Amino acid sequence: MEAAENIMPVESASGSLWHRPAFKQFILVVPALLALFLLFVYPISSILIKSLFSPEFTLKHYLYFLKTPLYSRVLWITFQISVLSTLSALVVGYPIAYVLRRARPGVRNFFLLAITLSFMISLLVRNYSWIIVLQRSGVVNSVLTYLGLIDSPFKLLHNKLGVMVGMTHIFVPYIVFPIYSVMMGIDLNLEKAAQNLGASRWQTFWRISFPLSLPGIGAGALLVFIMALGFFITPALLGGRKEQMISNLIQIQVVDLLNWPFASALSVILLLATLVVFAIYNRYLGVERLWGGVKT
Amino acid sequence: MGYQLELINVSKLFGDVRAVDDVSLSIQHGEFLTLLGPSGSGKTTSLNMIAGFEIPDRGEILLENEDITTVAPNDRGIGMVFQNYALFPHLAVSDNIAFPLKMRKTPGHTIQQAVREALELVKLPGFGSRYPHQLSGGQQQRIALARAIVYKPKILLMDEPLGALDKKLRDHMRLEIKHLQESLDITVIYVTHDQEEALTMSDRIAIMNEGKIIQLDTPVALYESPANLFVADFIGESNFLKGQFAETDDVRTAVETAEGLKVWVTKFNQAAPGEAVSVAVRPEKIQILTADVPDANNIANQFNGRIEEIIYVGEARIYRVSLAPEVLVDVKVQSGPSAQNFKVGGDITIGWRIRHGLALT
Amino acid sequence: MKKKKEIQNQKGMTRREFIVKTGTATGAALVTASVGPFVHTTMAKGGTLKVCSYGGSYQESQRKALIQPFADKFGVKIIEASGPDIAKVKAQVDAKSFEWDVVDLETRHIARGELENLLEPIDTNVVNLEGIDKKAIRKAAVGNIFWTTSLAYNKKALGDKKACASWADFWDVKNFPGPRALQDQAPFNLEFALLADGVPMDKIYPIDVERAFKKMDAIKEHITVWWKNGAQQIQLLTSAEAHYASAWNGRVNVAQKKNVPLEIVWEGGCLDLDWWAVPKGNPNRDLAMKFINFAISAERQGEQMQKFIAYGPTNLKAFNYITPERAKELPSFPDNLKKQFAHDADYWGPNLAPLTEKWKTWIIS
Repeated sequence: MEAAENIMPVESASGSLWHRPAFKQFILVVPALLALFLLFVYPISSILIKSLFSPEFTLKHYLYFLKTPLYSRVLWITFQISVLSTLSALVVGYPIAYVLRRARPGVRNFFLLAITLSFMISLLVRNYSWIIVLQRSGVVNSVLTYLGLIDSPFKLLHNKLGVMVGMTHIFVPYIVFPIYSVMMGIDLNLEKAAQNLGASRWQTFWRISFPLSLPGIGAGALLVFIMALGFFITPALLGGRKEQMISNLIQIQVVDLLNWPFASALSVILLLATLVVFAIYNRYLGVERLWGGVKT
Repeated sequence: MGYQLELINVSKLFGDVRAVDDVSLSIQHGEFLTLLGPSGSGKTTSLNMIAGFEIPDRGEILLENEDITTVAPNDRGIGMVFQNYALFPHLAVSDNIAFPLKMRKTPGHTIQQAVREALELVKLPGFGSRYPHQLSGGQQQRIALARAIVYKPKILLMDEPLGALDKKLRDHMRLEIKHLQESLDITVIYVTHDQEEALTMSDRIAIMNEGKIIQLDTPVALYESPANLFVADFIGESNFLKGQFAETDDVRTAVETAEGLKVWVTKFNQAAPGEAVSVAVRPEKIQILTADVPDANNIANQFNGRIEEIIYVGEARIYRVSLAPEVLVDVKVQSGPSAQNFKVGGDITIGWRIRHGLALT
Repeated sequence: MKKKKEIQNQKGMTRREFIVKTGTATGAALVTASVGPFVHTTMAKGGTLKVCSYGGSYQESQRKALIQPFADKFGVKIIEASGPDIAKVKAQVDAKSFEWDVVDLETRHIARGELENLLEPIDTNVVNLEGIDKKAIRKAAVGNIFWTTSLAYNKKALGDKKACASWADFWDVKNFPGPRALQDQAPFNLEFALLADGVPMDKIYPIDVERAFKKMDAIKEHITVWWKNGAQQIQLLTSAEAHYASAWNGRVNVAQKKNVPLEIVWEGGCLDLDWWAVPKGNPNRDLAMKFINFAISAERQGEQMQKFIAYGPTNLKAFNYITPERAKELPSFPDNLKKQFAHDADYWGPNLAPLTEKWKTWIIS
């Protein structure tokens, strides 16, 4: 921005525009600005425009959202599922990151690679794998029945539990890496110091290790939560009738009903909801931590 | 008499590496003991075992006659100052200092009082509400010290606590730590690889190398009578003249170098003629012999040489003198007007008394 | 709403997945649509035709029986694509930039496309509709296959128990116990509910929405799984996670050929179509019509259904090219046909939006 402002008073410049350093710097960021515009500014503003003009200015699509309970209810369900799956991914991912931080380099690299590879397995494959594991005749129920622990199969699938399992599996890598990288930046001597000063392992964790890893938790949780908001494959495949996601309704509006203005309005509302979460995050943890900066 | 802390035949292995090899050490209350040695000599591992971060593979550690070899670090009551201070970055200075008290369930008002006193002790009153990253290195060092002593531990361990500071601050903090130790009457075990630091602060120094204690003694004894070549080399500067034992008379023993120089040292009882030996002489113990040096005839070791180099180090000059091809000896002389007479390339006569040459095998 | 909807296309993605990948969150599917104008394709010159269909074994059957023979016969170069829907057609029509000349679409897309004037009328001077079933003729599309959504079950999972023979039996959970699955959408289900409630097949449309939902209430809690895509229905039946499910005949047929013990109940099945259509304003319209004419011929459809895929020909004369044994497996075989009702695209065109909203509201409560 500074560079852009500097080139404005051309007439007062000594020498031609081309030879001003600020201008040269500006030229260097042009490709990035262009990409930013094409990939973010243009699509998002065209969605916003589509939701507000058809072709005259109208708020009817937003009003329709407000007066049709379905959409806010599904948005609420979407938020619930997103929060729960984020928490669940945290509960599973945090100990993994914690152990990896303390593992020997060979072990650590093996598991980091394994986690990275899991990114490459198709979402559908991972979801169907869970179906095979969790269904009534699936691995878990078969083993439990065989062992005589249960008489009739547990309902592990096509309900919230199934969604949580599937989404947690997908989100854990996304949550492990930010936490792990923040933990790598924490001096392990701090834990020694705490113990030396009289803290038990438990106290050391809660008073030192955990608070210091909060930026990683925040970054990972925000990332996963925002991804979860836009998710619908896993809830569709592993969920029951009540696990409906707003992005599925948006898709129906786009693809089946060609109601693009309303779909745009729904998208804008989802975007706004996401921004609210982002703002809350920023208020308490600071956005710069997302990119690895330290809040001072 | 009872020692405050004892290490008895303690060993620690990391894989195949003997980090600490059969170390025994006894420390009295109020003593300032330094573990000095090059990196990898086992001094930090020894410290970690005393703190409880490492469990010895063999041997035991006694604190006031009680076996604490496997006691958890938080139950030992031994304070520690880390090399990089290890202040908790998310806690304000006062919370950092209050941490050990809170862990001990000290009442709130007592904590406040103790924190204030600790801050005054390290000369940083009013810094309580700041955060560690808002402090300079020296200030962080003091806070780390305050945090380590606020709960009045029996023993304070310090792991190269001044390593990250610049020289001037380091010199200053040395004295402050020493004064603090004396006024609090606390036992300190100090780890450093800086011999000057060790010499100025310690009551006793344990020289460590390859996991073993090579020599444990007072700074003066270590400097004046190093037990072997390693210690002589490690503590202070020394000239080493390699040779073999030659004849021995009633009071003295001769060492002859390959170049044919004959050096007299104090009578060495186990000197078998022909056995390899090095003679260590401190540069400041060597004199330049001019006509006006009184008593010059009584100096047994006198050699003619050529000045190869003159190095000015402020308070002194170092003359690098070749006594024979390949035999260079540094002579350290206090700076003074007379020194001006010598030039590089000039001839010179130097000498030292018998008692200043140490035969080390 | 279709048997082959989730078939893997050539790029190895299912359609749904494609949508997810291109537009996961925040309705970014719209982004796909808005980026449309930036995708430029050169106009077909003389002999190039761009065909889009649903991929997988379905598109393969079209390639072998329709596309390749057309290319060979007329020296036309054909560029295939996969993953069609009406939203992408609209993006192309709006931008007047066409990635597809001929597109295979499901009924709801055709109905929507006609409502929004996104499709070229069928040029009857080029396309010979003689022999084509009346249900397969629309203003701006010609049916290319019949397919059925019907009740299917896993014979082995039922064991000695008597199997459902109608939707009324499916609703009768006392006499016909066992886990059940239906698709999570309004179309078909509301019709099945009315059938189960005793409405005759010819009185289904226009749908008595209140009555249909009331009947749906009766089965709601007995449905173990509300399936979302074609792979899922067969997986559910095969693993006996559901003993009964509504399913697409094409998928069931494929499973049967792999010796999975599935049975299809033609009674009360909903007969639907896939259609050939041409995006409105497409400059390559004439060649596209020529292709459609070729593709719906009795001989071509006959070969396609006999050899490659178990759907029903829309050209009734195609049965001349199909063996009697094979014909019995096809939805438009006369004996099967009379047990089924036809999906009414004209009813669903305007009603899909409100009934989808009502359905979703119902299903989450």
